[in-house]
Amino acid sequence: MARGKMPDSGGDMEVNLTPMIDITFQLIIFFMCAMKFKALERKVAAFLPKDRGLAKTKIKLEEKPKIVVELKRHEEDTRTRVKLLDAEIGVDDEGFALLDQRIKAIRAENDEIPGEINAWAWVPHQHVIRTIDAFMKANIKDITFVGAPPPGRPHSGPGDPDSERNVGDR
Amino acid sequence: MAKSNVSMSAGNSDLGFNMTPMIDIVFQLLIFLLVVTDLTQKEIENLKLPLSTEAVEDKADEKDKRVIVNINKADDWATTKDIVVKIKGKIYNLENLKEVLFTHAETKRDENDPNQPSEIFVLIRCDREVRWREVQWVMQACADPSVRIYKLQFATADFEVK
Repeated sequence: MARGKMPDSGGDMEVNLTPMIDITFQLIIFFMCAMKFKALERKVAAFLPKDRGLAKTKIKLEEKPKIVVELKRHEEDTRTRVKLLDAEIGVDDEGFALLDQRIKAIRAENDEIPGEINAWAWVPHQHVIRTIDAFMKANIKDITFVGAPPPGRPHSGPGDPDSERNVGDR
Repeated sequence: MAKSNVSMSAGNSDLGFNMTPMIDIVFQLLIFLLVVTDLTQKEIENLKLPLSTEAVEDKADEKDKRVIVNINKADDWATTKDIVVKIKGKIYNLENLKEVLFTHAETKRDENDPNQPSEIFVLIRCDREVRWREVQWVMQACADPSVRIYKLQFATADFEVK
């Protein structure tokens, strides 16, 4: 704490700086707390479908050509296998790097083709976002997610009819 | 802390008030309330967001319409793979998450047409290692026929901000 000097008995006066320093520090702390830091976060927008995905009965969707990416991972696995149009192209980063190239190549031939991501329940969130990135790099914004069964039911992975309902569109 | 100083002179009724301590205390109170308010309504949990090169900057527009759902790893994640879902610092399970989303959704729904989707949108802030299943369940809670929140955002981090 800063401490000022009291004037002597003579006429010589000294300014007491203590209150000013106190208040200055208080103000610094106040503005530091009140300051809004610049957000460094980013976002990917998505829209859930309003016309499908939650019905009790299965809905037959029209079959259109689409780029289907499957991310496969069992509970005990430590790596994610990347599958594009029924062909496995690699695991983790190596697979995603190839995915970028292949999706761009397909998109070059068909500029209206949508995408579909079928991620298994145990796939890390990072890998799904990485797959969305791959589609966005190829300028494909119409992406559908294949859904999982609702809470309370174990996810049996692909082959479970309940896991093939769509829950989200990008 | 500044020293309080009420100067009195023996034969003189002149009293000089030192305002410094009062101002000190007022500022201390302001800071205290500011910090406490921030902690109780903490919307953003400390977690590792997935990295993305293509995501756009989050300018936090329309804050009054946005609900932030944080999906973080539980303390015992390494063994159980359990997660913690938090909104404004409060923990929810998937059932009461649906209830709280419904409450938020109702605040921004067209009163004349209650069948319309809500104008509320959900920002999902999920740790990059959390399993996709947990995110899907939050998505399903949003799309539940009673909730009807159809606009979502996934929070990501820039590759430079690892």
